Amino acid sequence: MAEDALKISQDHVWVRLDEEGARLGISDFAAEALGKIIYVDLPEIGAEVKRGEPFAAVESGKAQVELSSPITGKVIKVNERLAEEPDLINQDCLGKGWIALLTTADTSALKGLMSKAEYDLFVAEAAEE
Amino acid sequence: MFLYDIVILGAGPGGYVAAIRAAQLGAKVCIIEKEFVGGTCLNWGCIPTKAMYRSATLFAEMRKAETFGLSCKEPSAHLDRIVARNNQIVKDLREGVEQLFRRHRINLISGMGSVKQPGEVEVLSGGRTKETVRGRNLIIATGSEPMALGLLPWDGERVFSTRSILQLETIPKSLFIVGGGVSGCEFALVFGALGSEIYIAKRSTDPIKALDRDLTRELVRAFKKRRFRLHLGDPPVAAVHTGRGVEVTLQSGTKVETEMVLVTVGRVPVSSGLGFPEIGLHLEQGFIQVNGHCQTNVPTVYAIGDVTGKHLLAHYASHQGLVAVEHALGNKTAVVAEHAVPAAIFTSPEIATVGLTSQECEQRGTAYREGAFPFRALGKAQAIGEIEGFVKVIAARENDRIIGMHIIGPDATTLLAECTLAVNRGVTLHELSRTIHAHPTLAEAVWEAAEDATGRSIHKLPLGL
Repeated sequence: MAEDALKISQDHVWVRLDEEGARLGISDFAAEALGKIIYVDLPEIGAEVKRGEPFAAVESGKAQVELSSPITGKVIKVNERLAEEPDLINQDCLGKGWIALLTTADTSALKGLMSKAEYDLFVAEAAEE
Repeated sequence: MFLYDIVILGAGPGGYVAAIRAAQLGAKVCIIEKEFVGGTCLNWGCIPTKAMYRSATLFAEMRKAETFGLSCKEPSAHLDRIVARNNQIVKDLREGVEQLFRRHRINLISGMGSVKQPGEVEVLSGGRTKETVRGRNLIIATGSEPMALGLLPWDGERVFSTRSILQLETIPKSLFIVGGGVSGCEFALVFGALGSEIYIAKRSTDPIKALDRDLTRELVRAFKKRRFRLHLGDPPVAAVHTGRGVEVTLQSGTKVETEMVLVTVGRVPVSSGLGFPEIGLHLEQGFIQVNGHCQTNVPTVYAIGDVTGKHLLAHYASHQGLVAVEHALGNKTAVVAEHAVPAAIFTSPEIATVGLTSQECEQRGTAYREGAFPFRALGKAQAIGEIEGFVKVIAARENDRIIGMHIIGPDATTLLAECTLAVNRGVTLHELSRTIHAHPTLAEAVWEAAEDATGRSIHKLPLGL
């Protein structure tokens, strides 16, 4: 998959534009920090999401985390598989473990996000502080 | 004509507690009850619902037995037997209250009391006057009853009230709950755990009014996890009985058909036709208005419990009962502790709340700081496999006194007592953090939440997210 099309926010949420819309999920760093995901609180289809506001939540044995949306848009599809297999996120967070699909006109938001390489550096630097 | 010191109208948790305290203080007491002692709480509320809650949550635990290394093949629930157990417990407790009355020489009169004058109550039985009772002080504790919904009248076959649903014999395949609130949410939990498909619809977008916003978010999430279908902010506008059940149409146009419906849209005071306005009592929408000593505008007449409409809670009624009696018998400083009224809600996870919410602090312009601690960061919670939820503490910024505590999680309703004591006495964050909390207990989460309010929680895990 085209990892260079992937953009990631400082809140550890990735966006990828594909033929269906803007797909969102959580980063590998976040999935690893959380440990085995036991529940995903998916958004409602049709929900209006604003950039910077919570759109979903993930829960592991260690923590419950609200996920902040990197873009403004409307939810048109959610990953139903996560209802029975929430740990799909741990298995393949950048692919099969996607969380929600949005339609969006907010493509300018993507400019403010990091590439995978920039994100990996951001995470490494934060760990050193 | 014999003159009692205190005459009490209604033997619910307000009335009967007031009667016993009055007798303890040496008063001659008469209590009048039209139905059963114990009122709504004992007979059709707190007690039977909690007995049922125990059966339901135990059933849910049995189905998770494998997680704990246990085997429990194909457990089943039998509502008729659950209800029989509830009914026996209610009967035993009722007899217990009657025994307490005899022990304290409280005169219990069965019948419908109505007030003729501030010091005089006429008791009717079978439509005729049984006797007239006179007292120096009167305490009105007539309570409340379920509010009817014209759209869906109770029929005891498909459409139930919180009272009639307690005598159901079979678990419905699906249950539509109209109105949320505490009752609606608690019944959702019980029948959901017993295997019914649950739908909840109500006018407002909050499942339970006035709950701290963090608790509301967590409760909605807990309901979604348990696959309850929520239609918050989407009340029913039409209903039709089909052959198989009831089809309800919501404001949005969504139609839902379920086997049974529970209508729990609120409660109305029991105050009409009992002589209250005639003796000069001030009522608003049927609720009797009282001051901080539970006195009405007629100095020798007090009112307590649901009929005053302040908090529809049994323990609040009992507390008002103690205050009213002490005030009537001479302690003019007896006053209701309005700032520290706890509420315990038996959802799963349980909810407990006392004092101000974050929203209330903001509305009042009270500068505050908050701390929160998730149960999953506590060893005990992991050990018992109950990791949902958190404890939240709110303290006034000017002096660090705890003004609100809110819990959603395992045993929240028991942890509430420490929280109520803290809010009641204005305990500071420092005082709570210097109180040793035994390990390993869930109460450590309360201590940790207080520590978190000053940024010093020991076990809260920063994930760097």
